[in-house]
Amino acid sequence: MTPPAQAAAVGSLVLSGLVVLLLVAVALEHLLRTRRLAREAARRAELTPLVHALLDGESTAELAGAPALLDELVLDLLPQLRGADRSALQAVLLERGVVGRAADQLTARGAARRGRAALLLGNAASAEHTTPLVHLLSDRTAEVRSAAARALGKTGDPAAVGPLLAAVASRQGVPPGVVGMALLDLGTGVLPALRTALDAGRPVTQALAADLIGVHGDPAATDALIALVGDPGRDPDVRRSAAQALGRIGSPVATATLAAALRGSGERPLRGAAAEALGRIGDPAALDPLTAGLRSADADVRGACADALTLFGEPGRLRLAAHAVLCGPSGDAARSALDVLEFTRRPGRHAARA
Amino acid sequence: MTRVLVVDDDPVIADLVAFRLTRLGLDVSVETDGQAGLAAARQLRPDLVVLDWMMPRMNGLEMCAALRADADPELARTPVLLLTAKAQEPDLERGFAAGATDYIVKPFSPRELATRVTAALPPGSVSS
Amino acid sequence: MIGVATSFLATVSWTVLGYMILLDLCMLVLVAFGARRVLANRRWTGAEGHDQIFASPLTPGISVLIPAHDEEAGILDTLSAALAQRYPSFEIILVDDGCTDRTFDLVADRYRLTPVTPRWTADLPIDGAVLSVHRATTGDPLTVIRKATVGRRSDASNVALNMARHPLVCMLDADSLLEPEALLRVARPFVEDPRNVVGAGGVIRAVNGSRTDSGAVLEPRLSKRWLVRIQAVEYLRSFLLGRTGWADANAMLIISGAFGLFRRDLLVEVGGMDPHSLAEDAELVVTLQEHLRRQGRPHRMVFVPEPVCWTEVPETWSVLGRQRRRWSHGLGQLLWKHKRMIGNPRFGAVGVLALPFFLLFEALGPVVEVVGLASVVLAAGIGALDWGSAGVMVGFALLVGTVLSTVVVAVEEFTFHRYRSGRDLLALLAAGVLENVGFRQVHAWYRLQGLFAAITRRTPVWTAMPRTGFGSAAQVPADAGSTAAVPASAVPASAVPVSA
Repeated sequence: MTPPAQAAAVGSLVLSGLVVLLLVAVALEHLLRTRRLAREAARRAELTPLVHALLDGESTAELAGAPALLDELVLDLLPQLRGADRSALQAVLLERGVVGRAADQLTARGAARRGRAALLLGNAASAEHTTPLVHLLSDRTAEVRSAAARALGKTGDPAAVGPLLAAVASRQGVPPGVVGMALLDLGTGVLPALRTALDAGRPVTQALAADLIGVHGDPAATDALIALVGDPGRDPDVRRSAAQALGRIGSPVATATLAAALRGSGERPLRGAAAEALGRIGDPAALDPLTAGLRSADADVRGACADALTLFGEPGRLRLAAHAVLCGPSGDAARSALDVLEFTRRPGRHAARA
Repeated sequence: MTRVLVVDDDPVIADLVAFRLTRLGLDVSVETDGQAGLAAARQLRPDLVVLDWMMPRMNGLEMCAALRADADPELARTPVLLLTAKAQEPDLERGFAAGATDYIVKPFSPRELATRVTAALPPGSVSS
Repeated sequence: MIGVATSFLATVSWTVLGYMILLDLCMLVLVAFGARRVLANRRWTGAEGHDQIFASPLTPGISVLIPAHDEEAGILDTLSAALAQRYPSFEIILVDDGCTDRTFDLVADRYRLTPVTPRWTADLPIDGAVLSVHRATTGDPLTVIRKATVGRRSDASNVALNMARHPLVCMLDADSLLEPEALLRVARPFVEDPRNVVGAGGVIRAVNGSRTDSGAVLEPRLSKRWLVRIQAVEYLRSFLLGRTGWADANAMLIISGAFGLFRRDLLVEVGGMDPHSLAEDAELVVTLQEHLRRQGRPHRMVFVPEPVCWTEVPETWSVLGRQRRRWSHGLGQLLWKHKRMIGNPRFGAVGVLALPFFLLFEALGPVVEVVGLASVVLAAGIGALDWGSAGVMVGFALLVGTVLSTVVVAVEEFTFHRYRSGRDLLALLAAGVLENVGFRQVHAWYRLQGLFAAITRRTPVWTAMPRTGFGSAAQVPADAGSTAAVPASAVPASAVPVSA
């Protein structure tokens, strides 16, 4: 046999051994898992009545001796509940020392452990661990940082706003979407901080703040948002978020600026958002700019204007009807918007016809 | 005995709801998907149905609509409580359009659920 | 003369054998990296934050585009699965691309469609005329566009894109079943990092043989047909390749043949789907990368290492052959169209890693394999073959392939363990071995044909894959599909999985 063939023969032996090893590992894992799952299911079934009893604050005697699986069950149930039952389960976790142990794990070596600990603290809504969680916002592993952000949101401590917003802009930070959801969880207590953030920091933070203010519908931020929309020098994403927020807040004071943005030469997303916002606000002064917008060159903007007009009741419908007789894109947009109006008003009629 | 049917593909939630309602003195049956739920409803004729929306095979809306369209008028009038994680406005509209009597959003409070069930049942059905 | 021929043949054989072994070893290394990452991440459930994404009002909506041509067998199941998505805000746009069967009637019946005036959101050029647009009156967010077919799926995709109204879009095959949390998983990168992420993809699995009901995959099972089993191993392998987590995950999206979710505004910007390309999603990814990188804009693409989609894979050699030829054809087109990017560091990992990888493994690979096989046969024919050495070398090559497949199956068992039955697992392992004797060689031949078609700029031939629909309790009869009427124009699959 030639040398390469000899080498190959040796290599084949090695590889064959490897294959056999893998096969054995797979077979073992499969068997063990099947048994493990069956056992776990049985134990879960055993412990479930205990969990139910705990909801009413009963049977604290059995509590001390129950295995760790009980904590798992409680943790699984916790995010799906609200109100008194949720508080009861949180108290159980506290009493069982789960929260304490998790707090210790926050500085563990393995990233998965730190992440799980953060997850647990969030689910247990423990407000005393804000500081170590904030510290985790600059952890070296991205997933741990995100887990910490989520947990901070769930703990409900408004003092976490500052660090969360800062984490958006920092290099090894947290993605803006995750921070956004966490801030939403914190509720309306963070609104003052968000208003301040509208003007400070990087565009990504400003846009995020505008989005959140919009979701909360905070009227106190109206002036600041109007300033953002009307400033052509701002980042276009920020202006768009501000326009959307103004729509959700619904204050007619913003009509003039939004109409100007719709007419202006800004980017398409901004003009579309402005049209949508004008529709939501419902100020009759917006009827003219929206009707003019039906003749826009962009399909998106035309559609947004047509949809906005449907929200004005009869005056809007009349304007759309006037355009619906035209051929060409503005006519199409008007007709399809009228269709949607018909459709949503009398779905039953359509169902019977079809 | 007042009968209640609970249909939810998540057995943990279904058990919890069953527990709370059994505490009220109700006779609770549990099913884990829409098709089985519909069959059970036709057979058991419950006085109230607690229904999840997102389930495999036949979702809660389809089951609710099927109940409302049933030939038997009594079955068609059964109060249906939708218990679901879908919380947007269009979802609520769709839920009620399909014939739901009440709509509870997850995460939910089991006590609140119990209160609403009591309210939806005829007076005297519940023994606390 | 004979001596020259003999030594020439011998050289060729050894070279080819060496090339194949090298290829397999590279693949093995990549797969090992992927395996390491997947196993390390086992402790993360992957569902972190899903509940919040679902409940958040800031989560962007998704438009699911389904181009369909003669899909009556599985269309209702596909729609059921798509409409049952656990996602806060989405719409489904189905395109009836000149269907000659009952596709439209079935959908119209189930969802009580009514005609409406179309509300276009973009003006991409369309070749086939739009006949009518319909909406469901059952409350489901379903829109159906009927158009005349021009024999190109990209046309149907583009018309759906023209009507999409949400910020994110994804293309779904009419024979694919989405998992209930699919959109949530694949949208997660967009939700978390809206500024930088432009595309995300999830994993595709073979559904043949699984137990399904109204679009829900109740129990994943392995088909009884060996051809399908081998393809199942292929899909698993390409998933692992996608998880190698090279410095820039952008590259992996193409390679793993993922199910893709993209930003709508960017798709419209690059002009939608390329009308002449057969490579669809892969072509889209590369085009986006090129376009965005040239302008120095964010271009991040994320691979979501979770199964999101179950699709029907070919059950017979003839259908498989058509599919693989088409994919190779598409790949050839793609490489030619973007030849400036190959090896070009300006395009990051896509240019430096992904495209050269494709060139080497997918384009050159089949050539080498077929030539090698031919030379071995020839050498044996003229009696110039050293049977002993050749046997050992071939055995070694086979073993490397086997190790590869075994690792892949092992990782699957240690992580997702979707196949509950022990027999399915054994069958999977066996399929991994069998792949190297016969399938691989035939596959190389198909790919060579496809490559040849690309080089000679042959007009793409679009043929339908006979649909068997989704099995419910029992195995679907294997030959039912191949004897069904097959119309000339149709719907190619979009994924481009890699095989060794």
